[in-house]
Amino acid sequence: MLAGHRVAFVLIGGAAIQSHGRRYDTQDIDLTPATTPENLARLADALNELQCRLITDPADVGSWVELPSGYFTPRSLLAASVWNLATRYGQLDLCFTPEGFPGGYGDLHQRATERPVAGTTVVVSVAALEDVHESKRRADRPKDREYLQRDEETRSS
Amino acid sequence: MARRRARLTQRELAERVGCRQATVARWERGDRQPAFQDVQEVVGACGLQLDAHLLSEDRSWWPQIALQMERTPAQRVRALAPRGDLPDVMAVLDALAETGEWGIVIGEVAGALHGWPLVLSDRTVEVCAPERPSVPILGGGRATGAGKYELPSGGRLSIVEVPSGTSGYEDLARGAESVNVDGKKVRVAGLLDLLRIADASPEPGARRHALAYQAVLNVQRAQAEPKPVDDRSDGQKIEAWLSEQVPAA
Repeated sequence: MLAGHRVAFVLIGGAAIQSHGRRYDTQDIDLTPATTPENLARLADALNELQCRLITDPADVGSWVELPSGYFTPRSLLAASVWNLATRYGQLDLCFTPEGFPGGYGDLHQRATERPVAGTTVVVSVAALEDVHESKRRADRPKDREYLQRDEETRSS
Repeated sequence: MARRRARLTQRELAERVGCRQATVARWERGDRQPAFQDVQEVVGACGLQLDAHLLSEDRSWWPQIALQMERTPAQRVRALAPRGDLPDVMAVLDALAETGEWGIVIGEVAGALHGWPLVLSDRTVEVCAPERPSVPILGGGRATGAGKYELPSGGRLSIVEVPSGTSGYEDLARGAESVNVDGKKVRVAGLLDLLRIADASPEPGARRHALAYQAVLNVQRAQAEPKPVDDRSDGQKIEAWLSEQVPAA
């Protein structure tokens, strides 16, 4: 959907790790979009087609709101730096400034690589593995620690 | 969990820690909260050691789990199956349903059926069973190794007679649940038992599985808690959410 709308973004998080061929259990998609007005307009169009639910409190089960039709615009997107969205295809998290990368897309894009999405003809920009690891180190959640420790063990064995 | 891992009865544990069997039963039902010192004594009486760490609270899996819980068990598995492998996993579950109570599903597929958020790593269904399956049970499946079978559909079955931290089938049967998968009943290990297995497993990734099982349990508890009625409109909820956000620009 995003590629179809020619949205410029960098894939981050667990899906980026998977794209680098590492084992990471995730079904959600985390990405950092470019913030040019044209790109935000394309992103807004794609999200409006996805008919998203906004997860207002990820820490409180059931705290979500059905977003009104056509809710997203370039302006409304910039009203928050993180959007946790539930779509009919799964969870989509938009993060304009991931942990450790205050410049967002501009920081990550420089070292990102173009990679195909398995089983499709779609090619997406994927954050460098070192950048994803750095972001996870800074987030320091239990699952991040577990992944980084396991990855370190795998590489040293 | 510690008591089951130590294969003790409630009475045996009570004798070891010097309390009444009814007290142990109340702790396990959640009717009464044990003091921290009691927890330490119980863990020690089970031949285990309590290892505590301070970690940031992580609820980042909760929305995915909540979404999974809205689906049927079969839909949950479908949502997590690797591309192209779905029919294989579902065919194994279908064959298992035909066996009645022969085996109890454990491992990743059990986690998926309960609503965890982790993508299945392959098309193997792990089962705890008291005996090897016969060929008719598997619908013409063939053995590919010790306790490992491949069905005509391509799906794989792995039989574990004594999963880590348990004493085997009878142990898991007590907490197993009968889950409706596309209209057929499949026996699935209970969440606490799955957590016990992951906790005791030396396999790489078991720690992540334990975190995921714990997250499902936490979501179930949170969903069961009564919530104050929120009579705000969706628009008001969105405005309230926006007022707490850091703008992107």
